[in-house]
Amino acid sequence: MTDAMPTRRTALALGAAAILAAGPARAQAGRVARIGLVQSTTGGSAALYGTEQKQAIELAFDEINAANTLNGIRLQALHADDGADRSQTVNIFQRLIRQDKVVAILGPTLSNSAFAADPIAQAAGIPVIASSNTAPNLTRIGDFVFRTSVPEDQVFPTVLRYAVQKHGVKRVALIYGLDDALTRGAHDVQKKAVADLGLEQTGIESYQRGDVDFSAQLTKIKARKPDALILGTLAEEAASILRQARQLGFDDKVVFVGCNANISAKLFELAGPAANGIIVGAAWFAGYDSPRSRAFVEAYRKRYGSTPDIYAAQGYDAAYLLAEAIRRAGGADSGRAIRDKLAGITDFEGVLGRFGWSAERDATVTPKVLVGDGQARVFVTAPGA
Amino acid sequence: MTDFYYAYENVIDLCLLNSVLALGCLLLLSVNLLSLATGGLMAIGAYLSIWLTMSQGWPFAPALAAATLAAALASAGLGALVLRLRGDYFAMATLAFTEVVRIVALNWDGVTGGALGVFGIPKYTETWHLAGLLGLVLYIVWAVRHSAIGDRMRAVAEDELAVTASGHDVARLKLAIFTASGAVAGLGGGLAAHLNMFVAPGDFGFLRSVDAVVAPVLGGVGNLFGAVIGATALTVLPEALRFSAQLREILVGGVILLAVLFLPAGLTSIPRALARRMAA
Repeated sequence: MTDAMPTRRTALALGAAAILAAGPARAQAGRVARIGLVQSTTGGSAALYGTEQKQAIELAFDEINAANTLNGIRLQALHADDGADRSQTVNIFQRLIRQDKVVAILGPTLSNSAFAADPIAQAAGIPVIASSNTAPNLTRIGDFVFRTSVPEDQVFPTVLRYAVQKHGVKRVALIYGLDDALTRGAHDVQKKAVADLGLEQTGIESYQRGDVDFSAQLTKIKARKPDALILGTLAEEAASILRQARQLGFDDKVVFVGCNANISAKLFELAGPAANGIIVGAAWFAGYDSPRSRAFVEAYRKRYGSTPDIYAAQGYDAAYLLAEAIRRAGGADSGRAIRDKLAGITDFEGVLGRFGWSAERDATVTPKVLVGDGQARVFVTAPGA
Repeated sequence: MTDFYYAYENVIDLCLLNSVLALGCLLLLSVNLLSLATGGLMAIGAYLSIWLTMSQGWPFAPALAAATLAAALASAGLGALVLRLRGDYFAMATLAFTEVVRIVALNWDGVTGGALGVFGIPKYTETWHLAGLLGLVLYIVWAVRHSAIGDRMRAVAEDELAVTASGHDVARLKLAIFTASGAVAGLGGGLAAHLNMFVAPGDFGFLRSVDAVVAPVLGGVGNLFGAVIGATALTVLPEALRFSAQLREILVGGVILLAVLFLPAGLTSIPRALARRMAA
């Protein structure tokens, strides 16, 4: 259950042992830091995000162990799949903390699961780093809860400001998914950003998960002549909205501004050229040009044969941040010590760029404004951003 | 033993809670009613109880009592409307109720937090509450089954028309059972809401309702402990099969399918089936 790939692990352990034997005996061999890795690998769309994070974190752990960054402490990931079911996440947290005695937990995949399970870690004094939870107020659960996933409210205001400056947007309409925590949370942030920038809001439309026809909402929006349409939607729905808006004859000058969830290869697959010009903001994208990011993308592609998504990048940084905290704490005996060192990290150079924590233990990373290129089917850095 | 409890506390809590909900459905199944209203009734109990404990400062016990009462009333009202429907139509009407409650919960932000849910709910539910409740509900179901009402219920299950013809008020009996089952669901909802510090409308939807009906069928409707065994199996199975990673969902489904195919009288019929085989 914990070792999905025993052969690779054995090989790495042997490799690490060889390095230890060859080098000077400065490190105490055989110390193991057990880390809970709670990522959904079954259970619908959450499994996509969960698998990416699990793979990236295991990659990071193997790199750290092979390089012996922690002076003889080996990171051991105990992965457990919660099936995107909150009750199971709680079951897993209890077992990992109380029976397996992990010193830290990376995960869980879904914010809703985190709200139920993180309090257990908080009470036990075990630090948790999430890399895909974006719900507002998550870290208020307590001072042991961190996240490398950048919540929408740190990204969207920058994106909207860019749209205003670049395209002279004044009147906006919003559309969002009513019954999904992710889209609903994005919408709340978007609405606030619109009000903060003093833009005129001409209408809000909503839909429910599973809807495929948005023509009624789009016809209403079109009649109000907005300069921009703001999407609080998942990638599939954003694609349908983009295509149907073109069919309904939206003015070419209308700017589409998306949210974090729209940054997906699926958007281009489904929307095609209609995705041209959509503006989104992200903490990271696969084309981000920094040495650390390029090395990560290359290593991930080499091992798994696919391009990592943003959740993988955030998971990878979470793993390295945790390792850095363990290194600074000089051991993995106390969750409290690891938490304190983790909270003290201000100058970490990660895949996402320069990392720090806000007062609320959210990652502070400069958001990148991106523009969809419908022909090349990728997001590129927005001109003049 | 205490170590085991400590590591698997939440699994045990969920087994107890799901057993209680399954017993509520067992009562209905024993008069041929397949209800999918469990989720909606739980939601009423859950949201009312957290509103009372979190916004109104009520202690836990009266909040639970209010949750039970509210769900019983909702159940009585719903029952008066839909109990005249039969078979598939009754199941569909109760499912519609669960969906309506879910959609109201999604839109009533002030109380339910909409799709984002309510977090930071105080953890008041203890294992002994759930164990005590399960014991109580088991006793009540046992007592009802061994009373004159139980005889009438079995008669209704066999031939409803005959019972009506002999001068018994079948509609009233069904309404009483439906209301009692609603009270159990509401109390279960209140306890569930205070167990994991967070609730969202999705917790009380179609899947929750189906699980509550599948459990007694899996365990065996004829046996009092069938509901408990079925609910425990459904709760423990995903935990026990976690090693199988991607195959897990298929294995859980496969085990249930095999049980239904080869043990039509439920898991509780295994000893009897074995005994018969030994004798033969």
